[in-house]
Amino acid sequence: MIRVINDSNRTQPGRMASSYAAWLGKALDSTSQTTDSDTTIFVSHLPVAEATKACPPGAHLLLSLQEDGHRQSAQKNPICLPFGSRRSYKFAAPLAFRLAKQLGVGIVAVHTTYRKNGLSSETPEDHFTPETQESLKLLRQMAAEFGVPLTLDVQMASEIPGFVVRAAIIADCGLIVMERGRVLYGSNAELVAAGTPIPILIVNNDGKAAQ
Amino acid sequence: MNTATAKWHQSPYVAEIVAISQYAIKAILKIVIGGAIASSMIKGDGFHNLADIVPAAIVMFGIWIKRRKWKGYPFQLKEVESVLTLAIGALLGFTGFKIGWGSLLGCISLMPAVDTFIRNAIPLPVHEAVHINAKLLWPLVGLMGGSAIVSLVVARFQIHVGKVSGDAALTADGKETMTDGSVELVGLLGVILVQRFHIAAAEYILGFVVMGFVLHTAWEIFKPSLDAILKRSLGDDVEADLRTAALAVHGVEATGTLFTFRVGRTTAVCLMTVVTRLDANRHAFLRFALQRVIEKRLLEVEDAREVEIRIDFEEPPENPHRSVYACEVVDGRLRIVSDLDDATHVLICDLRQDDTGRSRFRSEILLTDPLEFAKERKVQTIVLHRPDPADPLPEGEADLTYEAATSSDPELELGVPLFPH
Repeated sequence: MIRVINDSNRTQPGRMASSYAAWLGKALDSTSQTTDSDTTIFVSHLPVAEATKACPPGAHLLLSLQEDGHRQSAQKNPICLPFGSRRSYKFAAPLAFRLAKQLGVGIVAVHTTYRKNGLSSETPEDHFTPETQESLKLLRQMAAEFGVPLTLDVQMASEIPGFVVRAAIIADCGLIVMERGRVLYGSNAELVAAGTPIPILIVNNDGKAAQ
Repeated sequence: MNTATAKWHQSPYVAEIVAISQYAIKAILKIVIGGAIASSMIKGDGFHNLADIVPAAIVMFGIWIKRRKWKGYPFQLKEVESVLTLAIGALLGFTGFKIGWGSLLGCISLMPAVDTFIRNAIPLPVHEAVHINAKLLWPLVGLMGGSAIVSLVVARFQIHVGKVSGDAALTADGKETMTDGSVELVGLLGVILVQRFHIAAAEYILGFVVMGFVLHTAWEIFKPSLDAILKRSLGDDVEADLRTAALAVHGVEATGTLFTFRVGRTTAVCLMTVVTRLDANRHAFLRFALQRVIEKRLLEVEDAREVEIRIDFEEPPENPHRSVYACEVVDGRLRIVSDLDDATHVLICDLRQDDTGRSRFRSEILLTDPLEFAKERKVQTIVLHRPDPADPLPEGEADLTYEAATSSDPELELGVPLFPH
């Protein structure tokens, strides 16, 4: 079960984050009956560095970015899931698909690839590494298992965070789900969080969080 | 359309050169033939065609001007097109009224008594009916008829190219050429009806019909240009759609001022202020998201081919929120109560709009009924202790809601140290 909690609502933005958390909890049918194996999402309005410190251990961090949930309840926006090699989405993908299934929305998987030397094709998929092709295969399997529609957006772009945000905007996504990365500061997730106007769920990948 | 890469038959310059050429050829033929057969009507029409070259040349010049970039003109000189089409519409309107006036004079001339009566009251110009030598009727029909058909064909070409290239002035000039051809055809029909079938009023009745057609075309050309020059908005429905689209974008809290108008015929402009709490680091992508949805809607506006969008951001207005914690004093410390009737003190919390500083807190002794206090002090939320969040709270009212505090210790609940009570 997915459990949604939020931080103090002692400021106006905090109150909006509480409202967003309330909407998400209701949409995911969260209840107060919790168990040790629950997946916990901590909703915060704070900047990513402060929110990370406030985030309880083992919880995933959702930066609600001044959203109060009213927009989401009116629109069925898909979830943006950036992917690369297997380790970049190992924990993010299952959670993204679970959320998509429960919210009744689709997944937009986005990826940037470098151009292969000597390959003239303009089709980005032709420039995938074998590892990325394997990742895509796994994502398609997951989509089939969860029964969630999966759309692919692949570009040959040199800058990952900017591409992820633009792709999420173009696809009208309501949430971006990314893994934290191996470092806290300067990771793609943090760079995306710094610029995105769309709420972002930074998935805890220390292995302690329940999936 | 990039005229450099357009095919020749889609080039606005080619279309106007064709129009100018047909005016020149017709003018020469009519003036020469008209002079040869002593027909003032044909000669006059020839000079009219000669004069039509001038607006066509001006339109061609206007098309060239509007495509250039001019320093100091952010919208280039696209509005030149509106001025030209306004002028063409006005000219056409004048032509329509002139045709109608001529037809009116002609009708009056058919009733000599009425004609005399009116002329005694107001001075009217002399009306000269057209008389054609019966032997020249059919050659005249051939010349004028051919001229009319050429006008109509060239007009269709101008209008088609004008729509493809997005040049409203060219389209307007094409419509003007079309009315010329229509006037020639109808005039010719009138002459045939009068000369061949002796229906005296036919020419003038047809003249009124032509007047209606010409005035309608003139208005079709004139009005949109006037709207563009006066910067009329694109319409309530367009602006409502733009606001709805903007509100659907993540990060937008509200829309502020909104102005929409055209520059020229084909450029739709939107100036919008958006209210957002997002910090400046996110404005670049927020602007990207807004421009996408606004551009999509603007391109649906009739004749719009280009858009200009300007978005300004502003913070939401101060919207102070006051919460009050219903408290009592236990062992010298404030404790949040579960029941409003048990409250002897209140902890007033004015929430900050942002995270730049702490919200302001102060405690007071409660001397009146708590709900009276709340009304007097414009309290929006009363917080009561509920150890289990599932425990019900009292029913709120329109301007007052209740919230639960899971801890009875206000310092723990608020996360900030308070001044000792």
